[in-house]
Amino acid sequence: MRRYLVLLLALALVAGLLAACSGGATSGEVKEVVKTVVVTVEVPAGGQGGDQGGATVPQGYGSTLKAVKERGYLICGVNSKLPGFGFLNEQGEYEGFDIDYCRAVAAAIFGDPTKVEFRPLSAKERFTALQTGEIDVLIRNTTWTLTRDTEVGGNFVHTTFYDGQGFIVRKDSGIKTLEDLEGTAICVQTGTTTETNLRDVLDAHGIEAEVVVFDDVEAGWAAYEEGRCDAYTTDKSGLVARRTMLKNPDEHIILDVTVSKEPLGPMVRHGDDQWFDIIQWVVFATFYAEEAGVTSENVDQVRETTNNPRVRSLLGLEGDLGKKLGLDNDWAYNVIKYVGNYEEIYNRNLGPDTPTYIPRGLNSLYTEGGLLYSPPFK
Amino acid sequence: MAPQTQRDEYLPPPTERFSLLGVIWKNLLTPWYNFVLTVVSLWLLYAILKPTIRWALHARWEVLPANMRILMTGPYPGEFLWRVWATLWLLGFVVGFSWGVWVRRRERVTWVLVAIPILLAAVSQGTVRLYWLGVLLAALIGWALGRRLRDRKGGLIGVLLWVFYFPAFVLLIRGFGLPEEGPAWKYHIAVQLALYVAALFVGVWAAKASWPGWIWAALAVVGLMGWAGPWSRTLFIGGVVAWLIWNGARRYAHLEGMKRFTISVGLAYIPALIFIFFAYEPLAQTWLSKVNSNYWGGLLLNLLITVFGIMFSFPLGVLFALGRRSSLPVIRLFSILYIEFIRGVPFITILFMAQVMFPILLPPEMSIDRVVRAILGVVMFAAAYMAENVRGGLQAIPKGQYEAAYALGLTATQTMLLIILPQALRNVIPVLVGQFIGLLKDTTLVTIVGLLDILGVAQSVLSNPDWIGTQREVYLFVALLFWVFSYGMSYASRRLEQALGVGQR
Repeated sequence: MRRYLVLLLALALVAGLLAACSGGATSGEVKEVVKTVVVTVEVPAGGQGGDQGGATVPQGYGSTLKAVKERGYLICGVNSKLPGFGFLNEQGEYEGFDIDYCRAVAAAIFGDPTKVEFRPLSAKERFTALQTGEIDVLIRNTTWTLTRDTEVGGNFVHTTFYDGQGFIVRKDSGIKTLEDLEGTAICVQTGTTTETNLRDVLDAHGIEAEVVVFDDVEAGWAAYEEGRCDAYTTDKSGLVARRTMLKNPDEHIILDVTVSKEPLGPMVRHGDDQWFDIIQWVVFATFYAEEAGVTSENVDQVRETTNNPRVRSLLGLEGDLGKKLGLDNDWAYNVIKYVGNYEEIYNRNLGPDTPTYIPRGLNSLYTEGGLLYSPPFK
Repeated sequence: MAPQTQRDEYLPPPTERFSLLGVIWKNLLTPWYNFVLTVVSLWLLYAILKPTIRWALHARWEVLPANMRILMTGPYPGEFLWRVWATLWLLGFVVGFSWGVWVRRRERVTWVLVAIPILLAAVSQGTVRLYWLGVLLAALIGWALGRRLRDRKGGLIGVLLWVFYFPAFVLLIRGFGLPEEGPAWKYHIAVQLALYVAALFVGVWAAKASWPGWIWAALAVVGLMGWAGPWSRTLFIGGVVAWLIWNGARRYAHLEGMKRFTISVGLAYIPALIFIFFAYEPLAQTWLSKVNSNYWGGLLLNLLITVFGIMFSFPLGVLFALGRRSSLPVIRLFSILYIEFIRGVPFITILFMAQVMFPILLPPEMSIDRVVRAILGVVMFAAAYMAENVRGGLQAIPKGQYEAAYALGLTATQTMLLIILPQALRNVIPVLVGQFIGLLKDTTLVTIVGLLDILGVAQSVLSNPDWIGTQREVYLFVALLFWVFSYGMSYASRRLEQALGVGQR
């Protein structure tokens, strides 16, 4: 018996050793990491000395695009748990509104919407991931605020989705206004702006209500459905989308109260204006394509027939807009061709034919009373 | 046995015959309070079972087959899914081989193990069914081989198979990272392999001199200090591994010339194979191209973190346990500080530290893979608890064991390795396995830091507009899976205890 024990112990030691050795045995992959990292480090110097030549080019300019191109794919920080915006489908592929914008950026850079690696992030770690360079761009239903624009080291490009916080309650509860929430229990997801907003609003109106926090969205909704909470609060997009999935949607109403502005959009690191411009103009390209009526279906035809100079420069037929961004001239063509214009992206994920239908509201073109307004492409 | 038979002789013969009605009457219906309890229990059972069964009949179970793939592997790319299966085939082979070598009696658990792939093949369709049958086939081949080699070094081969299984597992899941921009990685690998081969030959042929050891150490230090730029990590790993190889190779230095030559060539064979493997670029880039850890997920990720968590935290825990009982104040203090600090902090905090703080604390040019960070967090946490469990076992060893060992002339290390630790570890098997099970379940916490483990995938499935509202089905399935794995571990530990005779002597 003792011999077996010795054998067992020896095994344990071997396991330990193996653990130490496996680092060596698979060292080939370790080095790959070194190389990637080195690239990102060395790039600022290259960016500085390289393209622009002017003395005013700040350090870091162009570094992200260069690193992304050398890596061969984009790394996009996303949400993996938000209906309509980001989730895994049955084939293990990501799907959603935010996901499509990641694909759009990849299409703009590489002409290939699949050259993107998605990194699922929790609400709490998303900014660290951006700061430390683990991701190139954060497109994860992140609300644009002054603090986030400054302190957490990122910049927001133009908003892709205008949202606002609202409340859902049961019809028979008689709650109609904010003041009616006095003495109720309100469910909310923790660690989000929604939670702080809720507390601020309650304080500001002197409303005493119990705030029940949940780490998991699903658990929060379940608690609301089971009657543990009188109200659930989150962005209105979430409320509208979820109401259709409650057992009896008609028994619930969304209060006509919007207690916050939630402009959601992509975020990039401080210090690389070229990268900021690229993401920003990819967003604008989707806006303008909708405005000009260019879709993924007709983009080839439009490219051959159009005489509109703005559309011609959007599609790279005239001028060198793409070159100015450091991309190919058909960058916007690729975005539209492979991902689509804003309307297509919206309808695919949040349109009337989807279970997560949200009326467009503020997210309509300025010509239709919304807030989507693209600066001219010239 | 003797006293028992004696007592049996004095027992009076049974007066009643067994009858179902009699048993029911005696145990369930009389006296009156048993009757009341029976009625209440039946009512409770009815009240609980009726809605449960009604729900189970109407539940949307189709959510599970539809999402089975991502529950198991998360966003792992479909074109490389065969690599995950390959790890299962390998596992089947290794388990089968071990069975053939070590399990000589008929065991019920054998049939359970055989039934698993058959059952899974029966409920699955298409290629997945074939894949499961492949697992069974691999296991049968392994078993046949193991039986043939049973008496011919089968044990050694079995151990080696297990040792090589885990690197192979990681290799298959992760693939090779070949940067697209240049062939520089080849030089890194070439230099490392050259170092290993050099260490091997120097160890075998020039062992009397102790200077080579310093060379490897110096290389490792240069690497660690970062003087060599991009080569630093190569030199560090190369130096450390070369030192290990050199140390191992020195054992053969006393052999005569021809034998030494054979052995060194034989050992150099493996690095050479690796080199050929790496150098064969098309293979690496098409079949085994790298799948970043962002794409590891599902149950695969849980098991990966668990296995590596156990593998690393166990030796570390033993070290800390010994450190805490050490007579050297620095080591003792360090161990106590480490153990008490980690035990004073919740697991989630450590995971957050590992996931969010590590990257900030590290210099910007260094980055650790996020799955590795999670494993580091798990290891750090588990090692502290492991240390206290092992220390409990150490405390239970009577002083006489040490004294007897010293009296036999064993050194302190020998005493610890050969006498004390085997007994101490044997005593704490139930606690250790309890902790391993806890570790398995704790791995689901990584979902909070954004990793898509099985719980993370489950949440993602619930966010799929097509499957919203299927919490019960999905979470029940996840719970069942965890039960199966936990029970499996618990069963294995009981068998291990039996084999080691815990509690019997």
